[in-house]
Amino acid sequence: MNWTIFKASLALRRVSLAWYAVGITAYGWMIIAFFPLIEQNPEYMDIAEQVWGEDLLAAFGGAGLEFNTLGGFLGIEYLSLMWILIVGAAVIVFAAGALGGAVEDGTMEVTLSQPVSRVKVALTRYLSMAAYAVMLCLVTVVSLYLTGLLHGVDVPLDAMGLLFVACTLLSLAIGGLAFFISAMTTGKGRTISVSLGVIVAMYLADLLGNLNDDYSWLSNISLFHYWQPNEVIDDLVLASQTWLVFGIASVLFFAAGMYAFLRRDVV
Amino acid sequence: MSDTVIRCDELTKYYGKNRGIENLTFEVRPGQVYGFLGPNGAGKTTTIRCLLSMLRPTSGKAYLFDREVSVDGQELRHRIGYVAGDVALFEKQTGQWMIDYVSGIRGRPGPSTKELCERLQFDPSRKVRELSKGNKQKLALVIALMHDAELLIMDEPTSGLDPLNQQVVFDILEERTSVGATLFLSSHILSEVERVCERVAIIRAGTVVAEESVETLLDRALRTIQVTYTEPVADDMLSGIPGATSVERVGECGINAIVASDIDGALRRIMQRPIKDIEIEHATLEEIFLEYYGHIDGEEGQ
Repeated sequence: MNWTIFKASLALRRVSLAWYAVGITAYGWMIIAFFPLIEQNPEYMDIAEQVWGEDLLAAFGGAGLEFNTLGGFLGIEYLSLMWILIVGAAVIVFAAGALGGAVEDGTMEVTLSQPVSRVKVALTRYLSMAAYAVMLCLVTVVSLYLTGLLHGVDVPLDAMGLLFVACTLLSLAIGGLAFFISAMTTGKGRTISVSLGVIVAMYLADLLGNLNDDYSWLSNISLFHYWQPNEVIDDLVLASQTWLVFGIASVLFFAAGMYAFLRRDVV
Repeated sequence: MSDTVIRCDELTKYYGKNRGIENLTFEVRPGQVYGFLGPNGAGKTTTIRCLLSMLRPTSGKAYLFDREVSVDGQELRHRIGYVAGDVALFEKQTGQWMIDYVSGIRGRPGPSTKELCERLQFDPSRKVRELSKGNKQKLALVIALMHDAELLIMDEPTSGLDPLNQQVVFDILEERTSVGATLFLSSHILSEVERVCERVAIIRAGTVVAEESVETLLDRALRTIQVTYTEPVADDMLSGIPGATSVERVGECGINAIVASDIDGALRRIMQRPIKDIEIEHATLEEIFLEYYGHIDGEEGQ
């Protein structure tokens, strides 16, 4: 790894990091502030089921969830969609700029005309993206914990610790996918659009698999099928298949991205 | 000490089906000031990018300091200062940030940074996006020159600079080469190459079509001579100018002659009549190509 490139990669994104952190904190705070009202009124769950129907709830990963537990509420209202949108966008944009975007704007030529290998540049850019993702995941759990204290919501520290691990694994899997696409393409916009396309396709695959038993196999090919934040928070369980799928996806996408970057033209 | 600083053996690069360079072979010796001439799109930048391992050659090999760039590229780039033809920088950062970034990667500050900024009158505290094209070029030059590299690879280094700063840049380059640095200068401006280079390669359609000393090139180069006489020109003046490839009358008292060789003989002949005004210009690089290598549309020349 090259420290100069690592520090520069993060410094170039410090403003966006601050904005994403503000977004995560604000949204998490709003959800935590709502939670006492839901917790004390379990009949809201019945109303929600009547309004949305069991199928629709199931489609969005809400089947069997209880709104009046912290994990259930955070899962359906925050972590299963909005959090993924915010953090997913953050890591995809970071990865897009790290390789393909840098090739497009010519800064990769500046870097690679210096005495540094492609392996070091790509590895360092990946690690800086991972550090960026870790910071956002840390902001996620710290803001939930602190706003919980503010609103009298019991947010267990151990649950937040495990949630941090789960969030990091998912964001690295998404970031790894974007890193791989970025390594093969020239241009930030192209990387972002292709990565978002794949993420949306996975989300829809999970949605369709949840809606229709005939297509339940589709869920298995989606990263989101393995994302169960309610279990992490309420039961302190991070399923082994979640570890495996997110971990393997991260490693495979990283390896494929490195391979592609070493073989390509970088101007 | 290396026998050659740059060596390309049958270097070929295709972008899909499009040719970048083909079977390019040449070498640059230590301490040489080598010009790499060609019109836009001839393959100059492709060659340089292959030398810096940014492009993977389709076939053939490139060597720097007698070591293959695809194998030892990282180590070799310690010895290179490079100015890209199309300068790209981190737009949101300052010039100083860029200087620190490159110094950080190289593991040491550039010993000549301050002096270069002063001589080029460059203020590194300003953000790159606020800089004019000329100032961005100055920053690229500072970054390339600040570590006193042994090999300077310059792709159109004076692009965007005013004549005064061009002069400063060439002064600096001459100082560097006088203490042993090797300069590889890619350009389509003949006067620039003529001023500093000892030897040149002319590249056309991705291939080196000539490699010779600047002296030889200039000797072969065309001159356009525009003469105005004090009295009407007789028809016999239009013929018999040694080395002229074409002569045409301009009004009653003037002629335009294109002379390919024997400039001395041509001038002696022209000056046999009283002259009111005379202007002699070097032909452009394109004109040299047209004269010596056929048209720049891909036809084979002489």
